[in-house]
Amino acid sequence: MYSNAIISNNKLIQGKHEDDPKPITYMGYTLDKGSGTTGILLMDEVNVTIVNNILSGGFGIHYNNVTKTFAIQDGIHGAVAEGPVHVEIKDNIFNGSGGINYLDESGKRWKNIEISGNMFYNVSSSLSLENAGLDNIIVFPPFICDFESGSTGWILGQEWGIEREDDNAVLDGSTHSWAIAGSISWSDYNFTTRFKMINGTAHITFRLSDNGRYYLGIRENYAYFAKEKPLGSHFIIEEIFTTIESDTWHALRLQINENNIQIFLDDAPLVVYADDDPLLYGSIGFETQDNSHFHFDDINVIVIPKHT
Amino acid sequence: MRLVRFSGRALRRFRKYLSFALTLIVALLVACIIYYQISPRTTIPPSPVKVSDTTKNGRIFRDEIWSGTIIVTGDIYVPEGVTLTIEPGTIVYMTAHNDDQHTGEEHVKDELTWDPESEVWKDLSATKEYTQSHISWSIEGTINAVGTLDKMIIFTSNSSFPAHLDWDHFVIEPKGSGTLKYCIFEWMHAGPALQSTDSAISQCIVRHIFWGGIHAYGASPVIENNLIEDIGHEGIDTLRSSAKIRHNVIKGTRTGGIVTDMQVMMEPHRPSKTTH
Repeated sequence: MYSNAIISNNKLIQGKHEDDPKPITYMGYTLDKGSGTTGILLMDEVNVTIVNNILSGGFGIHYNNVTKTFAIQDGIHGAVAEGPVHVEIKDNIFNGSGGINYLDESGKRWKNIEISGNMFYNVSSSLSLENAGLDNIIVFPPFICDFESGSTGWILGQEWGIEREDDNAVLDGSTHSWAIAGSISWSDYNFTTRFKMINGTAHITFRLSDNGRYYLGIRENYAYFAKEKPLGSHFIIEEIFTTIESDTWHALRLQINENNIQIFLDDAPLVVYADDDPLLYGSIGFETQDNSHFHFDDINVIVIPKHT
Repeated sequence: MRLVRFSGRALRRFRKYLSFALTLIVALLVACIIYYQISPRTTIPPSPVKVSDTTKNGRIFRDEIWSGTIIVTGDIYVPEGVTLTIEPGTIVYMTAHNDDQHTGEEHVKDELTWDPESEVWKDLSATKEYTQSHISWSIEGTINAVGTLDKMIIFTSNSSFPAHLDWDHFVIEPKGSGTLKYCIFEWMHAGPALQSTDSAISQCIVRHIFWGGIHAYGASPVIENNLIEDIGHEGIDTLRSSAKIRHNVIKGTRTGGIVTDMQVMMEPHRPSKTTH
């Protein structure tokens, strides 16, 4: 016998860590605050229909064959469940949650899980978009940052911080260090920013993930467009001699659509490239090199909604 | 030695009388049985007993209707054939950390609370000592606890400073049935467990629970329109269940919103030292 549950029209709110309940202690045993929880957790041989739910925060929907996992680990359990009988995940809204994760212990997808008609809004992790199923919509809110209110949404390396230029807050980076923002689930997007070179070289990076990245190297009167795939293997695709003056603000615009990449510097085309082996997902970032110093400001990323 | 001797006539007469008496007795017995089987009942079943503003514990022997304020001092058992009705606005206080019935078995333990170093279970609320000193409800009959939006039925702790483990659990057993509507369950070890398909929980608030919020094990109850929050484990925990789970709001849970089939977690076994 297995579960035949129907889970519909529920609102599952999994708060961020700081919003989680306070710890509970009983006779020395403490149920700690969650460190992020799962909206719907499916186990073993389930036959479950999940429709029209709203999942906010946490890890979204997760399938885990616990029986198999435990059987492998401790040898106690005789029965080894064979995975889901059938799971249908349909017409749900994932709002800032972790999407859907249904990998087995070897990293393969469990079978018999159908995913369709869902909206993934601002899903930041755990969702492999290539396996999301059919007719889903993946939407991200615009990512806009002028640093006047801080660096929310950024992961800053040691040498990065917010500086003020007169009345304007800017992102300041120097030496070999990184500033990263956005989601590895971002696919097609328009990315604009302004930069000012004080000295040295910086890489403006996009579609950054564990699979690699693209980047535009900029230094005085010179730019180069490159791809790093896999990580550690760099290929210069194009070198451009252009006007990049120090202590001057320049405008950069990148349009990334499937395998097509266009880059504009001060509204003039700089790079037009179609990649036969594209990196399709990833966040953005800035990487200053040794003996370099740059300012960045007015980052704006509009992620184009994606249909799977 | 002299034997009493009956004449043949007397013996025959005696046998005749004896035979007649036995026939009469058997006929009377048959008549009684037939009468009992076919005659309309003249006895009226007892009407439910109304119980208000009092203390309760133990077995409920006949149908009861609760209202007002009820102080529960020990485990409650509603046996098969008995219906307990709780009226809107009733507050049922469970005496915190106290159970004058001293019944209860060890809870199934969560493997994650096993400390392999010290080889002890860290969660002492799963022990027999805990269950026998904390109030639990077992419904093998019927419970109808149907409040209204403005007169909810509250199952809570009597403590001035209530905490998540003040009382134990509330179970509608497989042979039981019940409707829980517009109720509040709070400050307990585990929220309502619906093990009967003939049961439903709706429009209820389940909060401040140490373990899971609402449980559905081996049955197909309806769980809808509930608010479930501040829960130590999952908001709704199902196992081998075909529950209908819809229109619930679940927030503030420590391990997840809804989980189905945590079979291994429910098996009462002790993990090996090498596990986890």
